[in-house]
Amino acid sequence: MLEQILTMGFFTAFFSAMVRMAVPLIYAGLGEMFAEKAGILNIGMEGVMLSGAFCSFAGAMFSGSLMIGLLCGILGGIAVGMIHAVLSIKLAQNQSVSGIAINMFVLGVTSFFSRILKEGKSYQQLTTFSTIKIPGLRSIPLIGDALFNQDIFTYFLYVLIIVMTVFYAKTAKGLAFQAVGEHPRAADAAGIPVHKYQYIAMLVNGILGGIGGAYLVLVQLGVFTENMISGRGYIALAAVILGRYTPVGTFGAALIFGGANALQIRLQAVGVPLPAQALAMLPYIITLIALLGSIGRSNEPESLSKPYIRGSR
Amino acid sequence: MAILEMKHISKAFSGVYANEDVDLSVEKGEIHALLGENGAGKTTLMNILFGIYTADTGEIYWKDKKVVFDSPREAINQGIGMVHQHFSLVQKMTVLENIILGLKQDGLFLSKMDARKSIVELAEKYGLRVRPDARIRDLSVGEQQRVEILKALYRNVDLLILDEPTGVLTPKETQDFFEVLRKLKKEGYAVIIITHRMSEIMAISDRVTILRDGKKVKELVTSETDPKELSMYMIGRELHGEFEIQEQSDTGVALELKNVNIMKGEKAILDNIHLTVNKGEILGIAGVDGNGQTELAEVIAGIRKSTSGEICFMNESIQKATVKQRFEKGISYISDDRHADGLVIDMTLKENMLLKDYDKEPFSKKGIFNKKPIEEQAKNAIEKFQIKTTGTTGMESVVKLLSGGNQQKIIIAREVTEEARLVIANQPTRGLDIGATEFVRQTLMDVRNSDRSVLLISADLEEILALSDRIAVMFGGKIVGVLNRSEANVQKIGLLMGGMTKEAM
Amino acid sequence: MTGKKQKIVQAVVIALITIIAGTGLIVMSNANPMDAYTNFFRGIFGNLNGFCEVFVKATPLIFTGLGCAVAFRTGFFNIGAEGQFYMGALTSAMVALGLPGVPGILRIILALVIGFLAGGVWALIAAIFKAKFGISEIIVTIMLNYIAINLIGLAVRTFLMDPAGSVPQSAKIDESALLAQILPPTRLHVGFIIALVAAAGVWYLLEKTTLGYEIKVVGFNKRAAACNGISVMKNIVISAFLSGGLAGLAGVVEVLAIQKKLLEGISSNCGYTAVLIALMAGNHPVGVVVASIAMAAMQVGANTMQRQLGVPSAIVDILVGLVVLLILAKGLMSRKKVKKAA
Repeated sequence: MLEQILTMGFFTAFFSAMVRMAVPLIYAGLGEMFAEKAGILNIGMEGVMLSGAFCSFAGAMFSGSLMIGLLCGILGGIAVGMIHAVLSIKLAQNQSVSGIAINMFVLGVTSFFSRILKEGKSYQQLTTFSTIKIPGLRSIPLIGDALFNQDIFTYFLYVLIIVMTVFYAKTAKGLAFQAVGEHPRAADAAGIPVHKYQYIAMLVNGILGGIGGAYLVLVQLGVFTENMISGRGYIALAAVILGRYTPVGTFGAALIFGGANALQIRLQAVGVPLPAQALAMLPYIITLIALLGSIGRSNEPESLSKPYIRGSR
Repeated sequence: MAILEMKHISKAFSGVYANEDVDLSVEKGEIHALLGENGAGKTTLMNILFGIYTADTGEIYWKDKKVVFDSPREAINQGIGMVHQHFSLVQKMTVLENIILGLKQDGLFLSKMDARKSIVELAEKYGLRVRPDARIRDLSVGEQQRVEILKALYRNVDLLILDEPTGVLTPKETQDFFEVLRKLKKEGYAVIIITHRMSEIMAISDRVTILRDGKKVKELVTSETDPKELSMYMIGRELHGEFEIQEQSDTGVALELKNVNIMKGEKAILDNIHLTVNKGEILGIAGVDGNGQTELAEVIAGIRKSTSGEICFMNESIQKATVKQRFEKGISYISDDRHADGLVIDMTLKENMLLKDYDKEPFSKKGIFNKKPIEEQAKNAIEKFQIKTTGTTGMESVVKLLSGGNQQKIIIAREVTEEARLVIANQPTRGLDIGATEFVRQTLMDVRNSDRSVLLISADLEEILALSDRIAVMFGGKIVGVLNRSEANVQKIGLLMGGMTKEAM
Repeated sequence: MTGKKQKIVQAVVIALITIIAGTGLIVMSNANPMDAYTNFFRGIFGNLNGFCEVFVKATPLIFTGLGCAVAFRTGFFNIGAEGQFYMGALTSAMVALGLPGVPGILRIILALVIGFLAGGVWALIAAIFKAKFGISEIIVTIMLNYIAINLIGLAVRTFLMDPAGSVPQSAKIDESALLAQILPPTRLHVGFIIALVAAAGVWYLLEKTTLGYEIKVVGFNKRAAACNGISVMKNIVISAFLSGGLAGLAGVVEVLAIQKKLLEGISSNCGYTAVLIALMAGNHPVGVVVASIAMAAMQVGANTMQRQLGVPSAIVDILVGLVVLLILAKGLMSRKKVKKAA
């Protein structure tokens, strides 16, 4: 049994699966992180992703183009993100209530319309985005396949993580977006338009969450099924915390979540009778421990999920 | 030549004037003090200047041009900076990052190196010692204030508004801070400093504008005035007591505080307080808000813990007693913030009457409420204190729908019971109409006249003088003087409130 | 416009929008709205079975909704009813299956008690994280939901797996340890009565006891609570425990009355629906019962619409989500009114 596991082949396949499992979580996690750093907690990320998944499927099916599908997925994510933005920024409502209501609403809408869409039609499967091999790099043992024999979404992620890291560390705008989530009154006093930045953050949240959802349809499954996000939006919330509110950290945390998932699939493939759930549970426990470990010096933005109204203290 | 002229500024909030026809003129290279009691309109005036509020009427001329600022950003862009009492600094970021926050950049990336250089230069020039790469959360309050000032200077302001800047500083830090101000003045900056501390006004300012009840009463040149004149203009009225003070028999000490301190970091919020309240006495605590009065009240009521010292009530240490236990011993508290502390405004009158006694018989037995005594208590309170409830709902009236006076009556009905042996009344008549005020004062007087004690905290000197047997004045967390009724007058108290201990004696 | 009038107008507007949206959705799924509504109401009132099914479906919602309401009263934002439900389900299955020698009625009582405790402890973890360390209960309860869900998955594949089968589910619980049906052949069971008793109990607790009073004070004004000697921490912990316990009972009842065994996915998201129910009910126990029954009736009616006319039953989720979003968005309405008046 052990010999079966400790092989190059096993690990190569495991790493590939890990990255594949992690990609939608990374997109959603980065989107969530961007919003949270600007002070908006979007528990509705599940709904954002679900909308992205459904819209991308519908768009690709009607147009026959994966790119248009992707665009629709992004728009679907934005639409849901904006509902949350208006409720939590303009109307200063409880962000958790708004998020949960959004999740239920979007679950209903996507299930409803996917039924209508599929009615009387035979089972529809999209041809998915194909992988692009990067010559040379993909031959690196163990991780070559995982990192450099992937689809365009994965490669774009590498760029995105670098851009976001630089954005927060090196640019004035990055500083400003963080200030909005930390201390909106100070940001306002420094001349930063707080609400405008929060809307922009929710726009990014919608875009990235939408891509995360679309990825599941356009790359992995080629089809939309009801409630297909099945908790990934909530996992993204955990990835942000575990990643200590940094792009690289979120990436790493999403890999851990993806890895736990991938490991159980691979173990099952080689016939190890370890129930999937034992592993799947781990990342959540790790997140809880990470929360305990960050007591006192939490990286959580100070004004997370507190609406900002000028003139009130 | 004046760099700033504010003319005929008026601003009302829901019909009440916070500023009425106020003028203010500040010159280059001048430190201009803005003096006034609580609610005199100082901060409102500055918030108008800084673009947080818009004036209802009046004009602002800045560098000879008429201006209207819609936001703090515009004010800053035009060269006006403000350091608020509560700092606007992002705790997780560094000093450098806070200073350059929100500034227009050339190019996409932060040029931290250039910024660091000019910040260090600025800091050295004015003696504003800061460490550019330290995180704000690791800095002392004094350091944070220097960052705030640097932040403004870095934005090339010509006028700096400082709202009660020394309230958070230790005496040593205050001295350093004054040095900075003098250097700024020498460089031609205009500075407006909002304060109630006479000593500071005398030490640092060139001119003083005094506000009272939202109006400007006087502008004075500092070198031509003295604290006595300032306090006269600030308080501005002859006060006289209206209550007949009955002779009191010496019945002993009710409450004694020995060497009580509350430290917040380096700073003492309560500084070595020694105080006694006798039976059958009203001890008035005078002072401008925020000089430790509320902390004093809360430390006696048990809401706040002291860092050191001892509190005795009826010759028994209550240092370890909880709020509940202290109430049971007879200490009642009428808070200055009735909506936050004293009432649950979303609950009914009946429920609010229970806040202290809900778990005692006859109101409840083994955790289950007993309807009858609860309703009786509420009914009695309404009758005895003539609480006006809304419509026909009576004791079921939700408290937030009642007037301020009637809300206060609920608290008094609950707190000033026959068992109350010491009533701590913190600003008990603030915001009440004349009738309600009279009622509250008479109630406190009745407590005193039945050989029980009252600790009356009020920023309203008239109230203090009218009711108190003795008057203690608080300034900067200290009791700076205790006067007997016969020796107290407005002038003495006014000087003490401004921290002028020597002149007052 | 007075506050009361405005509230009524807002409620009417929300109801109108919801009805219009519902009708629109029915039309979009190629059904005749009249037919659809007829079927909807026939599904609920047409026969005893359907009518009873309303109360069957309302039962877990009442328990979890009460749980959320109790927690929300102190400002503890428990969105972990889902996980607490599963902990109740898991432990009750363990009790019912693991003590074969014990009489059924004892096992039922034991399952209810232990299920309550398990759900309570699950919520308590989050309460301690919040009260002791200041960590947001929102994230912690979400994490605990997933841990609980996976615990169930683990259980039905290992120690609770039916030895006779190969599907991930427990063995069937023997008849004696099941909650009795009230009106056979309908599925209406004693659990619904227990839910009503729980609602009455919660109402009594909140309105008639000093503990309920403390919870109320803490929920409305933590500062005033502290100033008057009421412990904020203690009350948050107690209300969280009660909240989790009630959600745990939902799991117990679902296992002992409906599923008759333990398997995955049995909460069908009722832990999250509960948050919205508590919100719509204004955290009042009676409101929770009413909202849960209304919600269950919509589900039953919508199921009939789906069977008869092919209108997807997801329409219920849409409309309930919409109602809550509109409640949150009602500020948009009043603001416009103010502007118009000014």
